[in-house]
Amino acid sequence: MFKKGILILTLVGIGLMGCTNNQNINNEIIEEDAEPATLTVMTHDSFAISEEVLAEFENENNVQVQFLRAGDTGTAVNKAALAGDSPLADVFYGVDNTFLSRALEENIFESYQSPLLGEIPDQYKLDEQFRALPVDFGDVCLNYDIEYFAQNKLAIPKKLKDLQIPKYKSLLVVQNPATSSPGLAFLFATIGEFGPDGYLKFWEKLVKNDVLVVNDWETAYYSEFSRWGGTRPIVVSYGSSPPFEVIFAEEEMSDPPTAAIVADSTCFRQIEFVGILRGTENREMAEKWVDFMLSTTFQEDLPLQMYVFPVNENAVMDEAFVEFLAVPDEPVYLAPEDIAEHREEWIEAWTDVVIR
Amino acid sequence: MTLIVSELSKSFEDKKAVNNVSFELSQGEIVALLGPSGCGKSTLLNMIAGLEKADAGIIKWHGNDLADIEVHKRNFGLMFQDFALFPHKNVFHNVAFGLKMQDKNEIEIKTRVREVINLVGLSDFETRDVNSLSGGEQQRVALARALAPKPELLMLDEPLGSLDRALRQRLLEELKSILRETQQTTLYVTHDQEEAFALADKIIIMDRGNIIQIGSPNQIYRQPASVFVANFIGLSNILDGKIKGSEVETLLGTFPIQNRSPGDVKVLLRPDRVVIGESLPFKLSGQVIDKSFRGENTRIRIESQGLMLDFSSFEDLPNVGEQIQISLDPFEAFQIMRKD
Amino acid sequence: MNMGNGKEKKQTNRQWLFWLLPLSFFVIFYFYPLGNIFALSFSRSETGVLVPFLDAIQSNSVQNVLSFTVWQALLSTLLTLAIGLPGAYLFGRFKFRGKNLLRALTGVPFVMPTLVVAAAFNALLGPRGWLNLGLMDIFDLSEPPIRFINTLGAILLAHVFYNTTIVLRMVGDFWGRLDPKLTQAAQTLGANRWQSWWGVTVPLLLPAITAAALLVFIFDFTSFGVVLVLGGPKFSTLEVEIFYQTISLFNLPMAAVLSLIQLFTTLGLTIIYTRLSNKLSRPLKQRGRKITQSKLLGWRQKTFGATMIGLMVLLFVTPLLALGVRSFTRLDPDKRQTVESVQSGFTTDFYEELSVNSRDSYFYAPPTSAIQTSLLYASATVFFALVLGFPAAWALARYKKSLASRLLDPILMLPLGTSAVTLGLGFIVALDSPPLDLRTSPLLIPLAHTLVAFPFVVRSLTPALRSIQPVLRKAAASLGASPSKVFKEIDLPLIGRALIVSATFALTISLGEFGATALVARPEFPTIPVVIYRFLSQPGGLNYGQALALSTILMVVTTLGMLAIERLRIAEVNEF
Repeated sequence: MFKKGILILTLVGIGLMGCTNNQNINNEIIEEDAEPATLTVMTHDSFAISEEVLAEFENENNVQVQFLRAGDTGTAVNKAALAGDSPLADVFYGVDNTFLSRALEENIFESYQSPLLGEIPDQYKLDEQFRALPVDFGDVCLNYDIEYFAQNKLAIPKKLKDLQIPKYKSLLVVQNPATSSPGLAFLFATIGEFGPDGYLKFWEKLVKNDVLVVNDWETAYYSEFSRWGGTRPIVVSYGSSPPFEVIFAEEEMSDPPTAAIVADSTCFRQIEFVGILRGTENREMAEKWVDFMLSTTFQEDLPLQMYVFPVNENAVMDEAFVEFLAVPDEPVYLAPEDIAEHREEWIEAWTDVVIR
Repeated sequence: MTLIVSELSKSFEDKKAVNNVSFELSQGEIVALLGPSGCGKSTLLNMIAGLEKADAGIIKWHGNDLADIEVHKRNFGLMFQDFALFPHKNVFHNVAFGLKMQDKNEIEIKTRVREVINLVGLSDFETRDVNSLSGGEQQRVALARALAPKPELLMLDEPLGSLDRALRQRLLEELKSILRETQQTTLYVTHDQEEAFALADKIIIMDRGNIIQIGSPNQIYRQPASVFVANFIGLSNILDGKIKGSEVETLLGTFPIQNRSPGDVKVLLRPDRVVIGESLPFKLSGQVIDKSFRGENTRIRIESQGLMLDFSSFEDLPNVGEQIQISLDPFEAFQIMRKD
Repeated sequence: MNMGNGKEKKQTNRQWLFWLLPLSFFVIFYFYPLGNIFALSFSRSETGVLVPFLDAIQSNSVQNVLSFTVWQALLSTLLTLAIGLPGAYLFGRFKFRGKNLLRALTGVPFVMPTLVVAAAFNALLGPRGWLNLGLMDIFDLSEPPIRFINTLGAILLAHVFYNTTIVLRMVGDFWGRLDPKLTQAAQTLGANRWQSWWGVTVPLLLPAITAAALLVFIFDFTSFGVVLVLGGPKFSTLEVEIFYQTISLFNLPMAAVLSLIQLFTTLGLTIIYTRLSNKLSRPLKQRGRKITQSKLLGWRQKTFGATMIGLMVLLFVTPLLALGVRSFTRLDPDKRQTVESVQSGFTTDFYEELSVNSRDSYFYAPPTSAIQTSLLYASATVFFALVLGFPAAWALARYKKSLASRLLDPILMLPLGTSAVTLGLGFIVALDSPPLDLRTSPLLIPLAHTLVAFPFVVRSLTPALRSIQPVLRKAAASLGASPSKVFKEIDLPLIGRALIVSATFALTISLGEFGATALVARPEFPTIPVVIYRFLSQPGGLNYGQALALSTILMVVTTLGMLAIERLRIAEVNEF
């Protein structure tokens, strides 16, 4: 009796599938077999690359690159760690300095000393064994709504410490470091600035000054920031956010409506790394990909694709990007070892003071 | 014989629903399976229809064992007590269902559906939603649906059970004429002796999984095989008796009978063999306890020698509380039955 | 052994035939990955298996999280029922213009990504939403009087917004088939309106109500996005805590303990539910909609209808509409703190921009391709969910009292109570070698969606199958219908509505699912929600606008999809 039922449902299903069966997903798999080589690159969700640049690599090396998206940075690192001896991909790009310690402890990368490392300043090379190689960096900085400050004739805060004073009461929105990457970076900025012993006091004062904490960047920026849906004129965001406001404005504009505060010791620098995943069967091609990511071709493509800065000194940046960009000269420094050791503890302590 | 059921048994858990039952049914015959609810008649019907499997025994149709023939291949029609009309199909499609299953073509289906719908007197109802029909209309649709595929054997399971009395009377007549007209071989399950007597050529009386008696309505009425049968067909004047030689002793007195072996028996006093007055040899007097007018006749209950006796009569009868004189011929009016 | 027992045995053995497919699916794509990740998690514990459990049980914060999780789920479920049951009554018993559209629209929230819903609520209730702007205007206030985001109210409202459709569909559909004569009978027996309601209607509806309430509760209980985005840092459910322990702290043993707590709570609830539902559900005479549904007549019904329609429009349609309107509106930066800002200009820029690969990105996906990908996954999910869910529902309905049914019934609900983070990592740990190296296969996405859709299909189909009177099948068989014909002619049409409900759930679950945490996805073929998130994660008006434009497209696609399924005829399912 039942067989017929299955049959009917199957037909319905096939009918439904049929509508979209020309999809290229199926073809893709077949093509893969036909291609001489495939390189699989796992990335976090924000990874982007332009078509030409990728084509250049693929043609040059007679390879097809298959990208895999594995979630935000933390999630992607966890996945790479759990995949263990049967890696999900050949290369993983996207671990940053806030998660680097986990990636290294979990031993997900094979060491590779790329010849292009010479073009990269030492300050970015956080892993001495070259398992994780720096690709780009970006700064998490306070952004402010220019018009609000102009209208209210308010001075722009110059130091993190300024945020505790009453005239900036109820003006700041930040993200929860437990759930948000810029939130975590900003917490690190305050720890770097006030020290592991002092940062909680600073946060206590911020709480008194009515700091608003939300869980994610999207809510902070689009719901609470006064440039968009909210009432808070200062938001934790990226140093590159103001150029975005111009490039992706609803109507063309000459000046950005927001600006980043890049004064010394106010920003935290996130450096992103690439590494060859332990157990790859494609080591040779993986090395070529890593070299490619460090090369000027890819490095120059970075800014307009991902709105981060190249680490390669020889890379020339696009003018549209540089025009409204402020880069902090001296971001807050926090030793990677300290981050590795105290990360969880700091977050827990922060949660106790600010949330509970 | 068309249908032969032999030594059929079926148990549910430890309860015997049908116990070693055998009977036969011939072409064009209408047989009623009569018995109180729970006597196993529906189970028997379901086994013949193929909806239940027998634990033991054989069912043969035209000489072929039905054991391995699935229900839908038997071409037996089955009409259910609550009709089981398909709620998502209208009158036409309910009736057409069996024909559709036989892969008849559309014209055949239409013709036959019209035919049976007319037969049951529902000509204008073809497109009606079955959910909106009255009980009597639903019953006709169910009958039409069962008849449409021209089943070799039609089985009706308490088809009038859920209807009111007046409707039941009318539909019973209609059903009878339809079944006669089409010479339909029919097995009719009911707990109502009136339906069985009105409709059947042959009645099979069942109790607790056993067949108690098989016979024509007349035979059953004349010669109920046991107290149970007598009671079930509405004969209630049953006395304890003791046979001594050619006489039987009862509370009403001692009466002559044909010779039987001595012992305790039950004695049925047939109400239709009793007359009012003193014209017959044996006379009895009593007091009228109850009297109810039943249209064509009147039913009275009288008390005599401490016993309650029921009779019916067309004549004028004394009122409640008055004395009454009746008489009877013992050889005609008494029937000796074994004790159950 | 006598024949009777042999037959029963054969019958119960046959049920395994129905279980074969769904169970294999469950074992491979649920138990195996989950078992693997739990084993791995506890193997990482330096203190063994037991200590993390004790730690969790003794921890104040875990206790707080657990009690808040239960508390908010309970409140949300009650609120959802409070809106959903009258709504189900309206949809089940009455005909009115625009009913199909309204029903489809109430289902749209189900697919909307949390961030988009947050944006919609923000447009209405945010600090500069219409409500606050209006109030500020009327009462001449300088500060927005209503604080919505990061409140318990926001969590509850969002849960109602998301999950009411479950009640509307499951209970409404059931109600629509209930014989009105039963209530009328009670009334002729002297019961007043309320007595007949509580004495007859409610008991008859209980199987559907409990099923819907259970699903809603589990959804609220495992709520993640809503709590994270709308609730803010002060509120945390178990699922949020699991995410935090897994992703931020990489404390897998603790995450596993929390996952297990969540899992066993779900299992416990489901066991109670299945016990209840086995007692509650009985075959009922089903009635066609022609009989059960009438127009709204008299002032009582008209007032009721108008109130409910108004309420549903307000709750479900306005936020969606706000999004739609906003996706066609250019904000004028100079007027942005006034009421006029929302009217400052009609534009189709955002839609046009969607078709432009402005950055020459390799991952750029035009909206048509995102819609195609989404629909492909969704159809595959509908297909898988029905093919797997139907035999399971069939076995549950047919062999209601068998040991297998009693054991498996609650287990089928487990995917809903399982942490997506945990299961997602389970896939990565477990499905790593041929023939099951599906970690990076596009097939994994509809399979994962199916895991979530499956319980919905089973929950919708089982009561429908159980409510078919067995005598109808017997009648059909006696009329010469073979078992397969009985299935096609009787079972299928009679559960047609439930099939449609199931398919709709599967479709919407797949369309709205944002599998980033659970899966390893191919970025070249993003689904609509994935593209929406890409836009939303970047600053800039054009990005925001495009996210809203694509959300609007998603709403339209979903609405059309649901209306299309309503019209779909599965093997001659009659309108009835």
